[in-house]
Amino acid sequence: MRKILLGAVLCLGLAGCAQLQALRDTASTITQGYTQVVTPENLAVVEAGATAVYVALNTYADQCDLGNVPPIGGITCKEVISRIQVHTRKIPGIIVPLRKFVRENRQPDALRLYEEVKRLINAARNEALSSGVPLRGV
Amino acid sequence: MEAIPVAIKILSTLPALIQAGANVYNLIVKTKDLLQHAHDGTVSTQEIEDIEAMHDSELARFNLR
Repeated sequence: MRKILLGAVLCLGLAGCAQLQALRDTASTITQGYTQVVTPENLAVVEAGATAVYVALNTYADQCDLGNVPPIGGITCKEVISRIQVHTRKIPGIIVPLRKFVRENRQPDALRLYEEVKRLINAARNEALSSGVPLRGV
Repeated sequence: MEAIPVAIKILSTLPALIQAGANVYNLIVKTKDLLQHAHDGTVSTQEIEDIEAMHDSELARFNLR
């Protein structure tokens, strides 16, 4: 019953997932077109896509706090959140200098940090998916 | 009889769901505008700052748990 409740909760809370998927695909296409140059615009598109992931993760964590998320394979939702935070907690220390490099058009430095931020976002998303967090479409 | 506590629990999650839905909707609108403006070459500094603020706020909320 709790699993059904969690599914319903996250589906309702993330009702825009299908639209987000379409946006993500478009954003991905745009981003791939500029892989040699990081502009403020394509960094903002990546940040918007990452924000969709964080909104979903926060919804999951809110439900975890309320006791609505049962353990999966003996792993509690608190442990899942800790595992994801291993990646997300590295992002603030990278995104700040990345924005500075992009604004100053220091491309080699910007490109290096841009790839690192994308890697961390994907690592967090993959960790969430493999731990049973319903993130598909985000 | 189990249905009553479950129904209460579902109802108690509604405010959080509405908030999450509103956040996702705002994000969709902002990202659509951003993609259109990026295509047109008319992205404003304010628009980028709004995305950055939203990114930082949601990330901090998750990281501080």
